[in-house]
Amino acid sequence: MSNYDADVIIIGSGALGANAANQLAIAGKSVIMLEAGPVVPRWKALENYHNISAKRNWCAPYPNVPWAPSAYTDGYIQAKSDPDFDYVTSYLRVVGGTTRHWASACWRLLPNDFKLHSTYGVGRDWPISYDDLEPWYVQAEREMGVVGTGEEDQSGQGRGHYPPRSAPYPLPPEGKPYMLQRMQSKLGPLGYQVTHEPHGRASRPYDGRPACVGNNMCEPVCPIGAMYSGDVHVDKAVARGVKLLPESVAFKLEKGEKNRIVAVHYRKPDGSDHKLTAKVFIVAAHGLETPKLLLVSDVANSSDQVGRNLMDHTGMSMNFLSDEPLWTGRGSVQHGCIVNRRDEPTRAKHSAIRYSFRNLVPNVDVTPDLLKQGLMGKALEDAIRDRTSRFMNISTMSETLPSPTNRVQPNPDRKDSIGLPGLKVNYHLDDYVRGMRDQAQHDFANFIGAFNGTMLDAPTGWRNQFHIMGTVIMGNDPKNSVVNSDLRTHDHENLFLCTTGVMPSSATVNPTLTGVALSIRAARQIAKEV
Amino acid sequence: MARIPAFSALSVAALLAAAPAIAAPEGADPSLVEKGRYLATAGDCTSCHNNPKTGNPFSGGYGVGSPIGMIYGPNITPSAKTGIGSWTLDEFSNAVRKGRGRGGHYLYPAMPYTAFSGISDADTRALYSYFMLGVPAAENEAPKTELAFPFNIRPLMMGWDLLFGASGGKPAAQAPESGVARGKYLVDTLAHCSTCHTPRGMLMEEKTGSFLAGAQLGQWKAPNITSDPVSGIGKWSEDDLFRYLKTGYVDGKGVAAGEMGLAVQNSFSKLTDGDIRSIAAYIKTVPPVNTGAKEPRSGWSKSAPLPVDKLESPLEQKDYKAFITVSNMSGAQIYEGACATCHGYDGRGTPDRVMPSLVGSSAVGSADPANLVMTITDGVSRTVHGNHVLMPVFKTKLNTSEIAKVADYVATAFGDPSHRVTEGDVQRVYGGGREVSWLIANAAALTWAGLAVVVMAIIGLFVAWRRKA
Repeated sequence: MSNYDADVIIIGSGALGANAANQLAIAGKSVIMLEAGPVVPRWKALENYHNISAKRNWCAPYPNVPWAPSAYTDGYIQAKSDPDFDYVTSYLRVVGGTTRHWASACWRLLPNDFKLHSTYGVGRDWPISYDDLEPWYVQAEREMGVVGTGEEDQSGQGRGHYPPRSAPYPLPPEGKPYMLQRMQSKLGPLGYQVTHEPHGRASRPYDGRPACVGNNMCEPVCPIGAMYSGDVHVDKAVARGVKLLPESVAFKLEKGEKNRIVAVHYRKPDGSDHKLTAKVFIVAAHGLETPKLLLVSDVANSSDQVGRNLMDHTGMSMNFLSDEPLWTGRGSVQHGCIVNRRDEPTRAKHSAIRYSFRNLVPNVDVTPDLLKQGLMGKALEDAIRDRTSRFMNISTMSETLPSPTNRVQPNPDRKDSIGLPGLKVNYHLDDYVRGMRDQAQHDFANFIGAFNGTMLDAPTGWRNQFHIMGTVIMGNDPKNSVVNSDLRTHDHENLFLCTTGVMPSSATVNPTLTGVALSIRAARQIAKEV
Repeated sequence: MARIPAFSALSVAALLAAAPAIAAPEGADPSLVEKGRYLATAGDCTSCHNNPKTGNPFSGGYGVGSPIGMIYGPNITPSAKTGIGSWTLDEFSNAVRKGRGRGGHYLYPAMPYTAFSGISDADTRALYSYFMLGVPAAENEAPKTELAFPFNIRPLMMGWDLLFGASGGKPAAQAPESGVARGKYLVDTLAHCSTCHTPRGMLMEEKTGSFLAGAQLGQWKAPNITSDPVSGIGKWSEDDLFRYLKTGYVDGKGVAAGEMGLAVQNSFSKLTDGDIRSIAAYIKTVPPVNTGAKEPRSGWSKSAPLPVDKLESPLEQKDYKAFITVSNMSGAQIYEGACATCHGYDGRGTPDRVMPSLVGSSAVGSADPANLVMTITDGVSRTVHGNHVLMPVFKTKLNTSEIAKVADYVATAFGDPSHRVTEGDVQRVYGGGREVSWLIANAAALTWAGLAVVVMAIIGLFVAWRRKA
């Protein structure tokens, strides 16, 4: 190791990078982890939250630093999308990554999600199957402390306990919030399968984390650390000797002999440049920033697929007032979902859909409208209380397909404070996504009908769920994909990409658990080699 | 306790029958296994004899940090090779009650044989039966204890043992069955409370006249638990003590954390209610020792709620440094961010006490901030009757200065406002260890200087004098 600064250098300290770092440290490897953003302990993020006015901006409690601008910085992401859809995304550049402000849904993909093309004739197949990844899902669930039940059919197709599991969830499901009980009793008779949503909010003390007590602010920061976030594994990795370099922005991967990566160059906020060498490099810098680094470094792109095939769960969202109190906000910010449309034959024609229930305390949603109506004093209080009790939001997690024209690129016209480029995004909705609208409208009408509801916002607009996939797509063929199933780049033997950007299908579920499973799998492979 | 579940005795018998190669060691009686298991729980043998690598309760390797160096608990499973499988009842008894290892070598008093000296013959036999017949043999070569000179010369312990080797008294003819006498038997011998709670003298012996008057235990403090109403816990009722030992928590009085959390988890909470009540009754009778406290450390009832209006001020996104900088944060702000979500803005926890009140807690109210600092640093993790109580570790989130600030805030806002905590206090707590006497600290030099000979001579004279007296 004398000729290298470390066995492995990992760029990015989010859940995927930190899990890779932790596995490599367990295997006794020396690891340096670079992170563009700063260290912000949980308690400080919570103090920031207390002191900001933008309580519904999930990025706002975290620093938006000029050397690593956040997704919400004006002009940092220049996006071209459709007249009825603005491309907006959200991620954090901070030690621990974007899971610092997620809601922690921890889904496994379904077996068919791995073979979308061979089953439905659309999209791409993965180079590995569900069975190949299954043991790594178990590992990832244990690392993250996932809460769930193996008793349900998560595909909604009457398949019994599904998808198959070789081990139970590490933690049992929490109690059902009242809202979810009402959804089950009203929508169940209509044939909708309202199931538990697996997640990373400990239902019992787990791995040093206390149990969730329903503070209902998973987003933007779990105030007690019951919810899994990437800093859990940053701490573990650091305790095992991994060297963390925060506020260090990687801007170039240097190629050497035999097309191996020999060094990473990074820049500090003061503009000074530094270089580190290692035997293996892992880029784990989020689905948009990872392709940016590869493209500015001119690496891993012989396929011309880097930055292409950008996917999200772009879909629709609807607010309604029920005729009965549902009291959302008891428990955590998401509970349960409807899975019927995850894997139906219509997937050949249009997006699969999963309906997600928001469970936020909705005072903020209902109050502006009441103020506009001129209500004041007790009348306002009573109206807020009434509407808050009856407010409900349901949104779609809609599957998108990989399309080479949906892409992210560096934007040389927009530089941050240390002269590094911003991002340009082209992202248009195709007929496959738009084709699910009728189905969604039909289901939304049923949901509202079941509660004699009043529509507040018609589900006309489209919105992202900030789940980035496809941008450094995985495949067997080096001509049309960037990494193989070990997350190793086809072009560089010692360069691996740990990001949900490797996923060749988006399916209808939050991708982080799959990303962590893939990362752990890749790290174990790397540990064998260095 | 006298009743042994039939199936257990049968299963042990079946085990023996199925494995005729392993003959029952002489003196080990299958019918005593369950009783021995209970006594081993009362003795909390696992706390020092566990294997931290595998989690095996008795296969050894746990390190006890003592002022004279790291002492490792050996494997006490019945493995013939790495455990005590070939030990006779006499050898077992000598180790437990006299501090003499197999072959007669001297054990270090990290093994509480000084307390165990009072265990009855019958209970010793039950313990032996359990360890021989009720514990699965596990192979593990525990690390050797290698102390620095002169403590590596085990025969030095001879004089020490003559003087201090039987604080638990002579073996009880018969273990009392109930009441205060039962409590005394358990506290003085098996539970070996004095090992942690009695202060130590010049030679690390338990100080006479200071029984359970409180001592430093590594970084934590094992407090004064005598019946003194101010320095001790004289104001705790028997019910309080019962609940504390049974659950590890008494609202407004105390939380079992650190080693005491483990003692409650592994030992006290698993005893019969009768035995816990006997212990509580006896503890109430322990002679008061005034160790100089001005106020009782538990039972404080006043609280100064967080001055929220003074803490919060608008943060502007463009002022990004303010989102990162922590050095200027006050103890109250750290409390608001790190603690208040669970313990409340007034420090009183949640109404259902799932999140405990800090107000009244002995760690908060004590003039010695050790247990407050260590609770914040290491958190609490205690599983009692299947209920896992957890406070996260904060040492990865707060540095020494921040821990001092928040401890200072908690101690003064939810306890006695005069109990300030400084960074120096936190460093002193982290420095930890028992107060080491000059004699122990300089033992090597003294020995080299030949003074040890004098010390031994003095000890010899002492012994002669005591025997005469």
